[in-house]
Amino acid sequence: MAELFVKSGGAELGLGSEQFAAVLEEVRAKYLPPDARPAAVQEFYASLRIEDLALARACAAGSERAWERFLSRYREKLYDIAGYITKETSSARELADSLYADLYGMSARDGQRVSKLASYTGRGSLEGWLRTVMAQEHVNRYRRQRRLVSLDEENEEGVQFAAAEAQPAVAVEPRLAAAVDEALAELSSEDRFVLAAYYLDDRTLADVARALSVHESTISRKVDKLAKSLRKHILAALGRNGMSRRQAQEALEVDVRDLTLNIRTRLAQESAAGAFPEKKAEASAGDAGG
Amino acid sequence: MEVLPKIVRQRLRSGAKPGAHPQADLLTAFAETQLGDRERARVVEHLSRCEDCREVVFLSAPQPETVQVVGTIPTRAGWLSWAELRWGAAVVCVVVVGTAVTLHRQSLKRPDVGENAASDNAQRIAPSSAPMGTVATARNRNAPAEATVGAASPGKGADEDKSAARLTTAERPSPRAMSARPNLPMQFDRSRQINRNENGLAASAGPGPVSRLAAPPPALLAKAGGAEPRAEQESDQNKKQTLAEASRDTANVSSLNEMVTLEAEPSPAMKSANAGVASRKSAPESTVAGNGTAGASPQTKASPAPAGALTYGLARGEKMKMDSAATKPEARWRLAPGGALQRSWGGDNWESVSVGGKTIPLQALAALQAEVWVGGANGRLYHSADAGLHWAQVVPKSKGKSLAAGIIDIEFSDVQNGKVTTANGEIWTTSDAGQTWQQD
Repeated sequence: MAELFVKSGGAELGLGSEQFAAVLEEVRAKYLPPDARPAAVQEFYASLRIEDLALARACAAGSERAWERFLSRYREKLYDIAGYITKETSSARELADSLYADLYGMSARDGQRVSKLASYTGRGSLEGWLRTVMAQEHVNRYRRQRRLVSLDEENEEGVQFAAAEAQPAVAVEPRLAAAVDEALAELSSEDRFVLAAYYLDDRTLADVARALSVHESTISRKVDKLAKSLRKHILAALGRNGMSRRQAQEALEVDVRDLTLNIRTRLAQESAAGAFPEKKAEASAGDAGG
Repeated sequence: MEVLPKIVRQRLRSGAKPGAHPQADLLTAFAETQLGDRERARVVEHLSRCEDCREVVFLSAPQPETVQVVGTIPTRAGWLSWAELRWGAAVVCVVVVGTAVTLHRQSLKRPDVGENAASDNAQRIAPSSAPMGTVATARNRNAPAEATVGAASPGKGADEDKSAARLTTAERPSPRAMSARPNLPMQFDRSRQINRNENGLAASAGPGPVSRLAAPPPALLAKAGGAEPRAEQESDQNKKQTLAEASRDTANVSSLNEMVTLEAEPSPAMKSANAGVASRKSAPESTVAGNGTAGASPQTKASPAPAGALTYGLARGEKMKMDSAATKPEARWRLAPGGALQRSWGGDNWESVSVGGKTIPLQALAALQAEVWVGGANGRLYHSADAGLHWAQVVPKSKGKSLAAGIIDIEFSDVQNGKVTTANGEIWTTSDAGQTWQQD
């Protein structure tokens, strides 16, 4: 523990060794079981970003020296990160200032200043943590337009994330839905993540690769392979349920919502009389003569 | 890419709901691959079902110009990078053309050797775009002469660069285009020459002075403009090692300094007694910002030359450091007022270079061939191994401390050994091309 304290540089930041030990114990209790082996505990401590942890906790404790160092290292980075996230200068500044206020501890709980930095546990780098927290704040702001629930608040309250409002139900061939669900259920979490990120979130292959720390070509091959494998699996399941190959392919390709829109478009077309003005003229002349 | 049917997307989106969201610490550790297998699997499972947490992960991912922390080996261009091959091929073409022209002229046995001697010499000289430090090889060795260029070209301006460019072709350059004016007799190898001039000027029939001596930079010779270098026949000069050999051996050719003193008009950038090695080696005109002053006018940095470097003695005692190993043209770098990084291929047109996709006010620059280091405020240190095509940010760390102060000076004596000085007096050194750093 003493060695870790020296390595953290906490003394320079005004953090006492006992304070630091308490922080480590808090982090250990959060991520390791109470009966963890000492070797596992040591390994866990070794994996932490000790220096960043000491800096963050010293800032949370109000150390001026710690804040000076934090500002010199991260103040500008906060704006850069915010700019990258929001892609707009004014929003970026607002986001960065808002986060900075949370980090500094503008809010109080039970009469004590609460700094967001107190929740940093050193599992990742402090800069990475700042990015994540800022991204969460940004997502929260967008979600306020859809739902008024904060991710952090939910975490604190232990409330499960509320589902988004479902799209209006569209009648889907039951056999098709079952075949698709069966195929998706067999996917691994990582495969599902890749498909969701690429097809639902419209992320680039590079983004997905970066998130999973693999090469872009790996993701490219995986996406292609998964899409083909899903199609093959679904067609096979539909075939087992009595559909012919052609029927299965048509069922898979045709989206009922597209058909609905087509019908609406057709219903909104001009009437038949308007389409045949000469007939209309004859009809009018006949009415006038008659 | 295979298209996913809409029904599959719909069912993928409306699958089982995610559980509790992982905290920022876990998401950060996931992004930085710091999680164990079990924790990672739980996080990935959540991310596969939670659109909002996926968005957080992607938004918080580091930007493409990844911060490179100590321990990561910076990417370096190999000896056979495509850019080097291209320039090497261009140089070979120039050499071949020069050889053909020279041999052709030899066969013509022009009588008016005197006034064309200088131009002949210059003609054998490669243009300013030729690699710095390339040395003339003896014509009698069936190798065309090449100029060592970079030394005098800094600050010469477009005119001299253009005149140097003319040298790449087979046409004879105008004596007026040559500006260098040697004021000491140049030693010529007369062993194979047909003397047509009693004054000892090299005849065009034979190998010219460059057959034994490395041709000085074209700008230096250009100063001669009509000057008639006095050639003296000294048999013992034939035994002198040519600059080509010297460059290959990377030996100091101190005798050259005695033999050749050229009154090249130095560029303003060449005022300092010693050229900054790193900046010199990278490009003839690479200029380095003054210490600590963002936006300072480009000044060359003084630093002692490494042992074994070839030197040309110039008028006013200036020394040029030639990277004799270089055989290709290199990018030239400078910091413009305001701290913008600029690059030029050939010295004519300067283009702004964004570092990592954005314009950052820089205060320090060091370049060595394709290796470029730039530094600015708040410890921002960037490195490119491919002449600025790609950049990586480097964060030096030593004894648990990171370099965070403004960088005011960068020096790299070679690819491996470098030194970074900060505004608060810190000195950080590396001996392994930036992989690890020590704070002095």
